[in-house]
Amino acid sequence: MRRSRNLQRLVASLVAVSFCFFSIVVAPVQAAMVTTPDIFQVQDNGLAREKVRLFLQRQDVGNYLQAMGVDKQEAQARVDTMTNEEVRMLVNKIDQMPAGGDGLGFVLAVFIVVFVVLVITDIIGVTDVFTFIKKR
Amino acid sequence: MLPTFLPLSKNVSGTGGKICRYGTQIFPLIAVVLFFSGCALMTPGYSIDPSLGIPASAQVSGVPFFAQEAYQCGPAALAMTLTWSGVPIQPDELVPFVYTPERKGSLQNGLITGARRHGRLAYPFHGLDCLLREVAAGRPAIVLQNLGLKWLPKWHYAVVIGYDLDARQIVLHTGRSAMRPVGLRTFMHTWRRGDQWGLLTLPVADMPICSETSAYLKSVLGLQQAGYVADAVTAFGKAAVQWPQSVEARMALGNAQYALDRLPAAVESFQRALELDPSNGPAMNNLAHILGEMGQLDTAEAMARRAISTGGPFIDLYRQTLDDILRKMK
Repeated sequence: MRRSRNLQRLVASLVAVSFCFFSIVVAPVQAAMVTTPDIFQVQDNGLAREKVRLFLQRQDVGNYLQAMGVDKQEAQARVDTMTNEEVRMLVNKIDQMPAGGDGLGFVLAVFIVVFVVLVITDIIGVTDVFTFIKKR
Repeated sequence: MLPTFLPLSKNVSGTGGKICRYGTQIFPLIAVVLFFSGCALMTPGYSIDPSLGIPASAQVSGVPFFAQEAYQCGPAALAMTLTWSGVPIQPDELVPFVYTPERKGSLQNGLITGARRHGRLAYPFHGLDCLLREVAAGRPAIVLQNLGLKWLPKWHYAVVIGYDLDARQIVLHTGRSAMRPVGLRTFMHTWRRGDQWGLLTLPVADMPICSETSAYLKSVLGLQQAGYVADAVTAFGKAAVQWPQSVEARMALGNAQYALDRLPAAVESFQRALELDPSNGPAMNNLAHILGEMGQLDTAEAMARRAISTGGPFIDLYRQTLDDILRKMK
């Protein structure tokens, strides 16, 4: 129990340090102000933990964008411009989020469907497209 | 067989035309898919609320058309609405901001952050009512459509620039077609599969018609995070007028004013927030901090102590504020 608390503390301070490198333009870091994202946040007791989680989630989204071919600086700029809520909605399901512009998967799928249909119609002898299929 | 395909094929080509990538040769194939899926054309209809008070037809002027290149419906759509909003820009210039190479497309969040990074308020919305009201008010909207099927998606961004309820048509800048009329029913099929997601990119002087306090404030916060702090002050200020009872609007305004070093204005915002919610610890803390910076140390100290007495998750911050003030008093 105690050990896990120490670990938590370590993680929290590491994260706190890395916060300094994280550029959110909402309020100067040194000012003891409650920031606007925090005001919008549900004000529960888990705020510190929530902050750590959000920081990690931002990193996840940034890493995903990088893995998807966006360069590091640009990925960072995109993530920095997202609100906490947007990050929370994205994380975990960013893979399934639609990306307008995708054509290849669709066309491949269409061809596969057409191929399957023609194979079936070939098999039942309605069409004769593929010579490798024995017709009834 | 062929006569059965033809009407279906015609219908599908109406859903958005030359899509993001491919020419018309694909449509007979889609027709085959539709034919075998059977259910795609049987989703329920749409209805328009007569109380919306919108004209029977409307057309947004000043929306340029940019024909899209392969996979680039996102940058093209955003370039159209940004240019309309007073940020002249070409799709090519937006590609690095919104496109995600390995996904061969643009994520919704890419469009949102892309708009913010060009100083425009990105306001997502849902549903036909909002769409028609915004278009009637003269704003173009980006819509996410699935031109394919639910299980065989073909995601696409188009820009709605008009509608005609009598003719039951929506007018789109889409793909390679400018001002393309699409049947409302077909449009709704494709848009419903995109969760009826729409996006406005507005100059901060304009508020969305369908605006809701929290969503609007978060959109403005996004703009502030993109570095447009002065615009955020303007927009938070509009929110404070629009929703005079919103404590969050006053606080967000105060923080943005503080970020611009407009200290007396920020003080006033936090004081207003405190009038609305006299036990608001964060408002007391931020007010105390700013008063401390302005050298009004006695008032600041009293305010910081008041904040500490409210407790809550930010108490460590309140204590730090008090320490800062006490240090200045020495």
